[in-house]
Amino acid sequence: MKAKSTPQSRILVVDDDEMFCDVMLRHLLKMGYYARFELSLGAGMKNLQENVYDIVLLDVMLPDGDGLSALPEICKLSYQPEVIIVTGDGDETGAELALKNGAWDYIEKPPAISKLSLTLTRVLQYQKEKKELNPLLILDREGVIGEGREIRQALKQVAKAANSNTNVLISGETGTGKEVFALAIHKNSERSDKNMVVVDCASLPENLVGSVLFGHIKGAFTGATENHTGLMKQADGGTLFLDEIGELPLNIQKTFLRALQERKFRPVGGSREVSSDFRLISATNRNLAEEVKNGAFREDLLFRLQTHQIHLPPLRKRLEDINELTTYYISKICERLQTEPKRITPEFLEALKSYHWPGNVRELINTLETTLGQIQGEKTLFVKHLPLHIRLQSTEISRKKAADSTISHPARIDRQQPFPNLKEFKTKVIDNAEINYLKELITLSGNNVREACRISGISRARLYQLLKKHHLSIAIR
Amino acid sequence: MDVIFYLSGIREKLPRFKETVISSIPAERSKLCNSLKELSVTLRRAMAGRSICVIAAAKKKDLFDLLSIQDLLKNSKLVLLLPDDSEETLEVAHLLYPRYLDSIESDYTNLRAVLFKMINFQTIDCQALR
Repeated sequence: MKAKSTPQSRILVVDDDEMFCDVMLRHLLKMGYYARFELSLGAGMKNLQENVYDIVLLDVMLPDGDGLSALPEICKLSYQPEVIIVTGDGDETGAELALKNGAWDYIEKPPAISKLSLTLTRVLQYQKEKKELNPLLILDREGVIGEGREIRQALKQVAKAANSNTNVLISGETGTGKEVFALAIHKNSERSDKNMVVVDCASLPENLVGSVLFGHIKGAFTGATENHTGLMKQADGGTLFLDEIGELPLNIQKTFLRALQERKFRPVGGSREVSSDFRLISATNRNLAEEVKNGAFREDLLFRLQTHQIHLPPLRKRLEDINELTTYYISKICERLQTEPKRITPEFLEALKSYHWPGNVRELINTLETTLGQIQGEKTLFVKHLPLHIRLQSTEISRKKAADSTISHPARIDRQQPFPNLKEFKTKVIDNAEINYLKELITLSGNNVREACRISGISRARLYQLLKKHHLSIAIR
Repeated sequence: MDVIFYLSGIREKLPRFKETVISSIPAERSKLCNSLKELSVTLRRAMAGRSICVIAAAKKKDLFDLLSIQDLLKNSKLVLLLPDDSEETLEVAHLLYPRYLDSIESDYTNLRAVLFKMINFQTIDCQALR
């Protein structure tokens, strides 16, 4: 049982009772854990966002918020800590809500040290086994934003690729973030302490590709006044990233294939071979199989490149990530422009979700940059700030939705179905109305429980009751 | 696609650089920055992925200075002109993920050809989305 107390196990206590924190900290340090505490929810969340913890011991009643309402947000952290609620005001509803929202356990104060110790052991044992099964949990995302199913699939591939040394081919439309993914693979690989060398195949004139990749010897051609180390050699021990590999000239593909197979090549004009131990990641927005059929790409090279293939989804297929992407990039852009962070209206996000994003994440970033660049001192982003083509598409979709909802309005009776009795009919209509209301309320309140109660005029307990009834949750921001 | 230049490292060769490279780019699409501060301000305003940044580093120190604006440089396609190709210089240069490397001692004709392709490829790429 003692094996759990590895120095790497990190615990954060979030509780406003400083004396309790002191006592807990002493016990935890004695058990061999790395432990810290924070006295407010805000400070706790900040610490959790800036550092990595295995376990959070979280109080419920904190001076600046409710620990339970923070649970979904904590569970969503990329490193997925386990949360143990430790409260002096325990009750059955709170315990149920905590466990339903992802808490590991719900312990009343003062906790028996033996029970707490056993619980911590179990959590760490669970996390260890989970990490062995799912390498994604220990992946440094390197700017890959989103929690949607498609992006999580891609991240699982990144984790697998990072753990191997095989060639990787990343495909996806323009602007899907192929370079960001390549960097994530490199940064999570055992080569991360060496360079990731980028070769922008689309920017290299045909007559330059050979010299840039393989290097050249002084006097090899007019203008070769010095020996030059090629990018392939510069990537020795690290990663060679060939962006837009579909643009690689056919005459170079053959030489490159040989270099890839043998990790040896001859600089232009040189007589001696040079070796380089590089790991290859390539990226393309082209369909290379089609290019092979058209004779523009070598089949044997494609075969070598795609040992491990990762396809990145277009943004229109991961609209569930728009909220997170928008929040993240607005914050980054405001930081860059050195302006105050901006609030976003739910309609603004809905309009972004209505658009088809042919330029993918890059187009989203550019749209947000344009939008933020145009507003002067305004604190909130409204739909009217968006470019016209996005607003037009959003309006069109809203119009269609309105037309559809007139047809399938819950208060209308579907005559294709058996005629309902009045009680069933009323329950269904009220349930639908409550769900719609709560969803809007969550968005409007910015996932803030206190604000949601203020707007709706209902108590905190009633709000939680309704959320539970309709299987909805609220996360604090 | 706009091109941002920061060439404090090649004062002596600046006339040649202007003649070979800058003159080949429409004036309204290029901006020459005279200090790291001016470069930072320009990069802050540049649209992500819509600009090329060409920087000449005369010394290793200039390269290390660039690390302080690493985040801003990520928004542009970076072209670096290096003082040498020693292991240490290249190691620092690659921390900035440049799309093309050249020597400050080159005659800049290759650089001109690369910039021409970069500008055109990106323009075609953007037009295809409209």
